[in-house]
Amino acid sequence: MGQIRWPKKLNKVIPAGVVAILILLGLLLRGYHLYLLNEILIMAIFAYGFSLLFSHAGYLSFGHAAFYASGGYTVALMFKHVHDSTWLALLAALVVTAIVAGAIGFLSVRLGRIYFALLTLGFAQMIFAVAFRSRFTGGDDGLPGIPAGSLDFGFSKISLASPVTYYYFTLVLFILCVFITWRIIHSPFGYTLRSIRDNPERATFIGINVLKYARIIFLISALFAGLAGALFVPLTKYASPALAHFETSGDPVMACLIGGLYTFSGPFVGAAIYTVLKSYLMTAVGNYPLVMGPILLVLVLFLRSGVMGFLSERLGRSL
Amino acid sequence: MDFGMIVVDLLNGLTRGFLYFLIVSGLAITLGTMGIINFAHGSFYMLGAYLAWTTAMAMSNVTGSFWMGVIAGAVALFGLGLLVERWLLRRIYAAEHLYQLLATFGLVLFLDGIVLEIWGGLPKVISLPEYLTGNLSVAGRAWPVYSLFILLFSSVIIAGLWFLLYRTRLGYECRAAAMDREMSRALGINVTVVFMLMFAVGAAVAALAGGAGTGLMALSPGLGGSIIILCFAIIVIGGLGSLGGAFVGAILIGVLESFSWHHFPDSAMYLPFAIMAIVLLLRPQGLFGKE
Repeated sequence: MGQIRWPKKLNKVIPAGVVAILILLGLLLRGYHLYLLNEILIMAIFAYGFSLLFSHAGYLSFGHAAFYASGGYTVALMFKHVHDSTWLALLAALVVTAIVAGAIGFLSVRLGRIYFALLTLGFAQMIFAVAFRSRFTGGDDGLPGIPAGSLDFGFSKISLASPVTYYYFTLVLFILCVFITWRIIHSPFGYTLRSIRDNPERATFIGINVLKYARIIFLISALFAGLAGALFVPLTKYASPALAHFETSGDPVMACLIGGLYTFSGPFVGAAIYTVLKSYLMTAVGNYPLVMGPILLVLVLFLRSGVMGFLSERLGRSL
Repeated sequence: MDFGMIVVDLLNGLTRGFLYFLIVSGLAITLGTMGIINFAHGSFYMLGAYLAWTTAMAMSNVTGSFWMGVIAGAVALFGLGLLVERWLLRRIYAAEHLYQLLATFGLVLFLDGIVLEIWGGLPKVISLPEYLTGNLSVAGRAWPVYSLFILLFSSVIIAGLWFLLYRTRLGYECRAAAMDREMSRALGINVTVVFMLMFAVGAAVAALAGGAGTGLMALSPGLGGSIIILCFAIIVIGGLGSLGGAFVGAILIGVLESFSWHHFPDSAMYLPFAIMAIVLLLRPQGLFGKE
């Protein structure tokens, strides 16, 4: 297959174009479609966090739902019991996520990658059990009726109750997260992570403290997940134990695999495809695992580089 | 809290522990011999239980329908095990462990979907034969006959597994292949077939546990996921690669769960993972794992 020549200008044009389209879509879309687009952005934040840990450091977490739920429940509890300030709620969500992730990360990374996958899965199930059985989380009923919150800038206060405002707020945070991801993977820190991913023994021999780096990227990755959960709960107005369910841990895994683990746009494209597909399957088929399972099998067996990885190979250019 | 109650809690805990070990053993064999972490093992348990339920329902007016169900589930899962090994796992033995985990996670989703499609989302209850429904009197307290049955059933199957692994040709060949695949091949062992059979045996044992043990755990879609996560916790507690450790882990979890369901029901659900965390803090390689 011949390769298409890649004009260098496109490197800046494409991201700017995507942002422009996302801004425009906020004006055009309404109702369910706007909600779905908002969900895509949140899923993309979740997926970018996951990809930092898995694609760049080589640690497969099956427990990111723990952090998604930590962020989500914290926002719900802040809005219900403390204040409707979104800044405050998000800050609290990140702090709580950092504490939970610090504890889980400390225990999970030191036994290698196979153990890591099993341990994160187990700890997330523990968070699920706490959410499911505790009174402060509302047990299996969860916490319904969560408001959208508001942004207080000192001189003026913006309510996020309108779906359009909430969408643009999510969009700003999404762009920020993508920017942070870009900076991390192109920094010396990012290169260090990839050396750990490719060969932990050698990385140790050249003087890299593998455990320390693994714990740092685990924490950053968990904060992305916490932020995603914190944005998702006010969108759906509902915090439920499903946030911590292991199928939620599977969401960013699926998004990244569909989009492509080793391309920069992979998590975003994957999040878009996955969110739309899942929502379609839930409403039209009513049984999404029946279709999602075989899709995952096909990806793992035949298309490990995902959609964007496949396109990158065709275009001869990493997308 | 009196003596009789403690004894019954302990016995119920042992029952759960034996059933857990029965499930974990198949997982541990696959892990120990083929080096595959089978995420779908819990789904095999679930599917076995559903098939047993359907068979027992279809034959409800025949004596022995419960047993027919258990056996039908095991036979069907033996077949499914052969298929999964042949068409899925064999393609990814060489791949990284993480891809094996992802592929078998795909299988978890698919089997969940199948169960949802065929049996729907409502929980199912299997009807036990009359001789398994009564109560025994233990230390002045009632203890279900069914629990004693699970205890005996699990012991028999575990003994059978032991016999298969240590006293039959298939077992010798399987353990040889686990130690050194290349050398075993050179000595004329058909490693491909041995692995396929052992994987199918593991799946069938999970189905046996599912069919016989449904009285202990309500049957609903998603059961496979929660079972497998519990199994992973047990393996981590016991130490990766130690069957004896898995046994101790299973009994430990079973007994502590049984006591906490009775006295602190709110904490019972996360107890296994709290124990996992404590073991990791004190002994990262697991209770019986090697450094």
